[in-house]
Amino acid sequence: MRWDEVDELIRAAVAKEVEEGQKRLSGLEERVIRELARRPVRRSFWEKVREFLSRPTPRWALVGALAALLLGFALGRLTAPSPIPQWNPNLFVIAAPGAKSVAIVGDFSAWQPLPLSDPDGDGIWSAIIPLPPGRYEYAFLVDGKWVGQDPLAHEYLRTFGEYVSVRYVGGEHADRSS
Amino acid sequence: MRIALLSLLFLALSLLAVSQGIAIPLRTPAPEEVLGFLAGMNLPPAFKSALAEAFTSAFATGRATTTVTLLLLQDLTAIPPDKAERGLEIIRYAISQGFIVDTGLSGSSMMNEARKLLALSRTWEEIEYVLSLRLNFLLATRSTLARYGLIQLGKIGPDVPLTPADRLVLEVAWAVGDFVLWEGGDPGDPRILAFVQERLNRLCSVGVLPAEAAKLMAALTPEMLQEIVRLVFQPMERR
Amino acid sequence: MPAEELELIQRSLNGDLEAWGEIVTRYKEAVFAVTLSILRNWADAEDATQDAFIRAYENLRHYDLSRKFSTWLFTVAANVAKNALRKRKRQKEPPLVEAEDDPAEEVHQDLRLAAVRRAVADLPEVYRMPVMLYYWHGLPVEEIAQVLGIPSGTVKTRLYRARALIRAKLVEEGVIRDAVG
Repeated sequence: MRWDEVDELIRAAVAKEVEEGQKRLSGLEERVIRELARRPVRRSFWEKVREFLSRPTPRWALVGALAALLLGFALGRLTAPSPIPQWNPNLFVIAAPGAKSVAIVGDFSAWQPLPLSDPDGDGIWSAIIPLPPGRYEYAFLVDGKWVGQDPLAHEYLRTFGEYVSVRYVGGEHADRSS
Repeated sequence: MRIALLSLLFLALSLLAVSQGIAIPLRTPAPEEVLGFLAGMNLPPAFKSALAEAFTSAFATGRATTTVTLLLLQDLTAIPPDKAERGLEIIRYAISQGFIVDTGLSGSSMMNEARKLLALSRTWEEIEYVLSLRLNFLLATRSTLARYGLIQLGKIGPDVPLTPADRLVLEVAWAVGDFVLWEGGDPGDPRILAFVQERLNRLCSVGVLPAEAAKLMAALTPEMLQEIVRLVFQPMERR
Repeated sequence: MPAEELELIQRSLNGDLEAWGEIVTRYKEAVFAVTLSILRNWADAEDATQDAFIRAYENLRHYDLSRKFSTWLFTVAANVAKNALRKRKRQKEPPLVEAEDDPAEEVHQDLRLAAVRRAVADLPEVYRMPVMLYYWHGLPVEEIAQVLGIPSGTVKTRLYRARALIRAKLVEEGVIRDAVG
């Protein structure tokens, strides 16, 4: 028997398996809706926080909550716009000690890797990329690994969970450069 | 004399390149080269012909660049033809509706984003999904901004010369899309307005958007932006 | 990708249970196939299917709109079914066999098909889900990898091995001769 015939048999077998069980699925929608309607309404995060803050709580729980809030603020700062640095907006630099190769990908290269260099071997890799005025998304590749958070970026985005850095070049930004 | 100066300039630049790593800009292919490459791709002939027509108009009016288009087409040869066709059809349709699909080596648009997602090693299914959402954002933004009188809708088509409104629509659609897709923002969150306005402000400051855009920015409301998002997730009459 | 499905998801996020009911209708068969592959009997699979849709609704806020919905839904279903399987093992119930249909019907069934069904049911646990997702759902390898959270290479290997095991079983039962033609 050929492999494609085996494939066909398997296909038919699993189809039959599912088909025969399917009559049990009639009315499933109603059962799911009934069960969900029965359950308590989900409260939004902010409603829960308000409720938590209005109840007397043991001190250690408050400390924990405060720590969580501070962590949240710290994380939030990562996506807040950072002040425009007094810096050459064409300079891209990253500290990557021990790296064998560092490149940058971004709009300006149509997302193809451009190599950075570390001539004196101190782990600071850099490149000057002359950029016309505009908005540029980019990220570094350190030994092939995506590093999307550049401290010199003006803002950040996340794409499928990965960070991407953004720079604005030109206009008032150019005036601030050294 | 001029040649001597130029050679000195090139020498200086290349020395600078060795010491600081100046990136050499990408080559800009001629439109014929891109269309020639497209003609050689493994796609149905009728589709290639429609796509070639769209790209020709797009290159001529500035809705796409040859550099990014060629790179994207080259990447698509590694993908099964039926999948590549679906993604390219989204781009073709966007061009036919007069939208900017590629802003070249800066800014964000469909083709730049596809290149970014490829650099992130996402699957073509994911890229296609994102492209279709972005198309819906473009359609919804244009109709909403027009309905509220923030832009004037003239003739629509791939050959119509670009107006400042076209770039405005692109950037507003992109900002709203970024907020909902990548920032995971709730469209009901009033911060969506600040997010979009800040983006437009910065684009004005670097000259991507004209100064007149400030008037539009001041007129935006959270409700308008939520309307855009609502339209995106509703069935739309496409053809 | 249907824009109207996105609308249903958006409405469900806003608390519209009717919209979620529509999603259930569209996906219940596919989710059932997923849970069946893990739990191997219809009654448990049906319970797990119901639980999967409830769990998915409650976690809809965590679904990333830019990802494919079915992949996410199948992952939720797989987790629910695996939990049910662990619970069943802990309770040390006797292994539940497929409810046999009317015995008379078996005579009319293709005996080869019945043998393949037994072979699939006897596959080691880690092979059954890829087999179901590939042969019933018709998902490409990359998507299966995403649902299961394993590399594509591992998915391919498991599919090849599963197929070889099934074939060997059929040869063993004399259902086919081992002449590779």
